[in-house]
Amino acid sequence: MEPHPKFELNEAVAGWRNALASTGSLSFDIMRELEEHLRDSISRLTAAEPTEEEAFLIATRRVGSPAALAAEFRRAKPYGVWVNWATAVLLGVQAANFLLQLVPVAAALLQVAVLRLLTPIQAGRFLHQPFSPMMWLSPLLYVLIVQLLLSLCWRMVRNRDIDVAAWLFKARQHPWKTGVLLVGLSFGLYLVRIVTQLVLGQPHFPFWPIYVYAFASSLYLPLTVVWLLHRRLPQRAG
Amino acid sequence: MLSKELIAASTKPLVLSILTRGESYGYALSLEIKRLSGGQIEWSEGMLYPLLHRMEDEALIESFWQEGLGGRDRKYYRIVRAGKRALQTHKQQWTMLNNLLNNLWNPIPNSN
Repeated sequence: MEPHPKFELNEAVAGWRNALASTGSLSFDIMRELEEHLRDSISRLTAAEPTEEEAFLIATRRVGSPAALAAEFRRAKPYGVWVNWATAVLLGVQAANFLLQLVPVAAALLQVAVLRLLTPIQAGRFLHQPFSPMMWLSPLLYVLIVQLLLSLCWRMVRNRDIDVAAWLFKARQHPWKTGVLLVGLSFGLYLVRIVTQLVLGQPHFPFWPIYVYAFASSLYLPLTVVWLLHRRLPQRAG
Repeated sequence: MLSKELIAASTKPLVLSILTRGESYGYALSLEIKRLSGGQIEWSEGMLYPLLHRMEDEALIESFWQEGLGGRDRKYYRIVRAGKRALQTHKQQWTMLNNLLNNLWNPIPNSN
């Protein structure tokens, strides 16, 4: 007879959470709340039940199937889930936007470091050859940073090192504070980028309207997030 | 045990009434109602949580995450002003219904 695999409560709860997530209609916030309920229920049951596994099975049966729970929430909150997901996506895009502002800064610093290592003649060749390394370095840095961000975020969310639901919740409770913070960060990073490029003597933007466009685009996303957070969810009739 | 319809109709005023005693979270609310009703009322999670979220959308209650006993975060709910007003309306309606049924079942001898 094969040995019975040891029951691991956290793994079992993670499996249950994945089943909830796969319904596609529950927000982080709701899933986390239901998980806390399940864990409370298990803690209470383990006082009477002989094993954690039995307590888990009883507690999940009481909470109900993920499909049934999702159906109840869809009936009660037909719009809520989409607003939550849209907010999460926009916040993610905004986070990427912040960090991508740093790419030209990193590329410029790298170029300065490389030029210091070269003799003036080599530096001249380096800068004036038809396909300067800087031409492909920036896109490469973009890809690397995005890739790094995505894998880091995924790992942190999966391990629950960061709590997206709690962040979203706090952001929704303080929409104007969040807005000021986002706009401040966005504008600050934009300034850092421009100042660094000017100080290092990097090629400037070709003509002035591009500054206006770049500034407006650094405000667009934070303002959209603020609008989403501030907007009340649609009320149901009755 | 109460009928499904009666549970559905009474959950909102019951939740509002329990929350007037102080903030609480879903699991504690369901234990509290079971205790107060002597085991007569058991709220299912599939009914309670969607209702709490809907009441929050209706701005009757508000919620916040806070560390509870055992170091785990829990989502607490608290009643807000509109919720207290809604509870007053519920009180009037349930009292009226209660008085009406009492009068019908225990008629006062006609004094005429």
